[in-house]
Amino acid sequence: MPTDTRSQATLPLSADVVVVGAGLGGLGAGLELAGQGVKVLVLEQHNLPGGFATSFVRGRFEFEPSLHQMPLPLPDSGLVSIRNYLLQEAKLDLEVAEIPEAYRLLLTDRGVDVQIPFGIQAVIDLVETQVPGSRATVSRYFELCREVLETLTYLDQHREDLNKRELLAHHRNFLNTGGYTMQQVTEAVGVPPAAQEILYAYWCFLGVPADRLSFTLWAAMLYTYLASGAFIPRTRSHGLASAMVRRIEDLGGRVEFNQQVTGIGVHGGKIREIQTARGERIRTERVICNASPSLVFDRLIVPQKRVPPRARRLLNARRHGFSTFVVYLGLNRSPAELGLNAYSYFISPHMDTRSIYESTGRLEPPLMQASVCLNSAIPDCSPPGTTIVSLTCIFQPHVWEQVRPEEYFRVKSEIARATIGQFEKALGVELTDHIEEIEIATPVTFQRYTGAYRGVVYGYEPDPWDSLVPRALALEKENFFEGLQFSGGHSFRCSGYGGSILSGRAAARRILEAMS
Amino acid sequence: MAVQVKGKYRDLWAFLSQPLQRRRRIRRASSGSLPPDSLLRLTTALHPQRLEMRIADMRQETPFARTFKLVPAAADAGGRLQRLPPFRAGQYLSLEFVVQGTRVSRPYSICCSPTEARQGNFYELTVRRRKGGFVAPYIWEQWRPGTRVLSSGPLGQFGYEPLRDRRELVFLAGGCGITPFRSIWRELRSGHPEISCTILYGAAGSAQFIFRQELEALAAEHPDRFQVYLVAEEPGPEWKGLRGLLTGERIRELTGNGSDKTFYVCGPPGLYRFLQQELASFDLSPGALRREPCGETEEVSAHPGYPRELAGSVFTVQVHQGEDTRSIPARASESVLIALERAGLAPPAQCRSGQCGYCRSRILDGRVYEIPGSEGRREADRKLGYFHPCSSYPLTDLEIRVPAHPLALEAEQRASKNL
Repeated sequence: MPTDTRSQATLPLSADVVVVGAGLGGLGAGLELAGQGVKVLVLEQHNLPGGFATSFVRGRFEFEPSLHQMPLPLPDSGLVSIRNYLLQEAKLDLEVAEIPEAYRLLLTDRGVDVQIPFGIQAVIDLVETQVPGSRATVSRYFELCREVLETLTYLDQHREDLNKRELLAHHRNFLNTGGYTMQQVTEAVGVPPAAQEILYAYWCFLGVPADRLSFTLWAAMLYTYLASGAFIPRTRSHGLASAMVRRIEDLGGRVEFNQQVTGIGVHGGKIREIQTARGERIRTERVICNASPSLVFDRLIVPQKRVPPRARRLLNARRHGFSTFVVYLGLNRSPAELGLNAYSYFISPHMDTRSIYESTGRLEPPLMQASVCLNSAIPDCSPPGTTIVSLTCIFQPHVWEQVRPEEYFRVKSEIARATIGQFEKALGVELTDHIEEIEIATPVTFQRYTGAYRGVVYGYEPDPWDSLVPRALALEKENFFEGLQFSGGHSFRCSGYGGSILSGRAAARRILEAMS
Repeated sequence: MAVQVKGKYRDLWAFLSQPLQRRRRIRRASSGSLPPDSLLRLTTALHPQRLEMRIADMRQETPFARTFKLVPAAADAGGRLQRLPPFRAGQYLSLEFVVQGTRVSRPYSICCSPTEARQGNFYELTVRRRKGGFVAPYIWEQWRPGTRVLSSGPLGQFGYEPLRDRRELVFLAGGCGITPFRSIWRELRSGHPEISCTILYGAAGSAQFIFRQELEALAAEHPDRFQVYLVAEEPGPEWKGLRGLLTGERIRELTGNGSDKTFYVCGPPGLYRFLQQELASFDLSPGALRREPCGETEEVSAHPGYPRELAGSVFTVQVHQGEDTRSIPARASESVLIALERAGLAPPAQCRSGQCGYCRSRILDGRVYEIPGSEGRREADRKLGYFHPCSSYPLTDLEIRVPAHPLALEAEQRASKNL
């Protein structure tokens, strides 16, 4: 066993709760615990908070690394609003900006170029203009999505006193669709294919093709965004993550950077201590891991022979979700000069999610990109006369593993060039001549800074059997060590900014319950 | 309205059976370890947290500059030397030293080309001997073939980027600032026939031009693609070449109109500021003038707006690091990072010029002077009170919170001994 070399100790000898990783889930956990007066210690291996939710500066530009929109509060809903949580409940020192419209969708082989507004009625109207006669089924579809969301809210509020009779009587549509994929339900409702392809754009936020993606998760995401609109932190995700750190510290918690956790010591089925790369050991009985279960069970738990076979079976049964490839452009022209007026651009030849997904399993420019012109939500995010555009593609985790180190720069440059070309061609705009700064991030880049297992950004793929509800129901059964909880994109709320933060809060609450 | 997908009972069963399905999938899966993280192999090959190398060779470039050839120190399990990470021409290494018991880092540009580095599995660094200084004299005296060297992987964004830069490049180098350009021209010479370069290299006297023969040969062999001008500031009477400074007038005379070119600057403290003024009339767009500050630590009082009356002061900095709180002295004329290094409390640093943010710390009380043009700080950090100690100078007593180094010093020293 390693010994504690404490002559230059930087961490306390013990802590009530240790949070491993200052990604959004870890910070969400830290915030809740510190708010309840718990002595919480958040350890982060990088020198910055936020994980994927960060920022970086090149020349005159501060870039946003990720797709980072969160839904605005949904009127007349009991659903927890992430914005209200951050600003009112957690009282963060944070400014946010609203996104003007849902997305512009360009399906180049299909001749589709539509701009989707926020607001369910507006979306229904727009789809009707594109696909005459679709109004009835599309309206029914959104009504179903709303019911799904309503039931999720009910489940969240009645976790302790769930009434099965009530569920069967009043939440039947949730139950009837909860075992199926997005494709199965959409077809059952009768949404015409031409309307499906307009409504499916957000699938790439979850990264699982329509014939495997859990309808429940899809419905909740689609409806929340389209009904309520979306916001982003004004000073990039780094502003959000740093505001969370400041608040945790103000509440008496601690966040320590450059502190890599190398081991989680267990004994008799319980958490015993945390071991760090500096050789320090912290006694604790409670740990919230924002690091993925894959990393925790496969590497961090010591001794490894104490990891139960069931935990390993669970890891092997799940499918690791995608990682991303992003081209960041600082352009020396204004959005108007470039001809960019929307915030989100989804660009693809078609909306066959299965074939797009398959293209993300090959080392070539993927078929689909989700791109953002940041200035459309935050006009002054870059100096006057300039624009920040980022082009995001997804890759399955095995793809970049094939690249040899000596080919890496060439491969990333070629895919970046193709991605820029795809954007320019679809929109008929010119970016290449106006590039003042460029940076390219690959799965390697994301792993380099976050340590994520295989560079995975979005946790495990939410097939119906491994989506929101089955994960939530299995929480206790799959809790393999007393005192260990998970937060972040790999945990029960699945991926996404709001989900990660709230999963941290939920993990903290489970820890608090156990402590009291 | 009730929605049915496959029928009333089948739908309900599809939902209710999910936990069973989940259990079945888990039961059928392997209980072995996960397959190895193959991406991590690539990530570590490209971006190792640290490199352990040894000096294989050194050669004298000028009376004041030496080039060191570094090769991997460690062999893998099969007894083969590790591969050094590939890099982009113009990048640097952040070298780590323990000098007089203090842990410090210094950025040095790699001066060989990526292609030759890959073929021979080595890096080259050129170090100039300077009067004073803390680390350069140490290198000069201590580094000999066989010496062990610890460093980061390749870092930084300086260099030619085909997706961003023009096809005509102008390199403006001063003194030891020629080193990253050597990596770039050696790469461009073989790999990029479409690129042409004008190299303007200023130094104090004729003996100070590093790589002079190589530059003259480059221009002679590729007259259509590489123009080389050596400009000596105060040369002896034997000097036949250009004299004086890299003024705007001279640059215009030698390169013509600037609007279709990308300019790159690397040199001693103050050169960039000087050239910014000299190039003002070129009306370059901000991205067309690129800079490698090389951990520039210019005399802080030379910057406009610095309150010179403070230059001689010594302030007290209360430093919180992990569990510890200590008070240390900090000279107004030195960066907060240097004060931290003297006290053995330094966070890890890489660029040492405010850009990379690796030393990011929190300022709880007091004020600092931030070197203008070290724009690396993030917008939220300005608002929330985070700063980069490497480019910040105390204006008052300070209270700060500084992250620890990822590795304890003892562990580091053990590692160096085991090399």
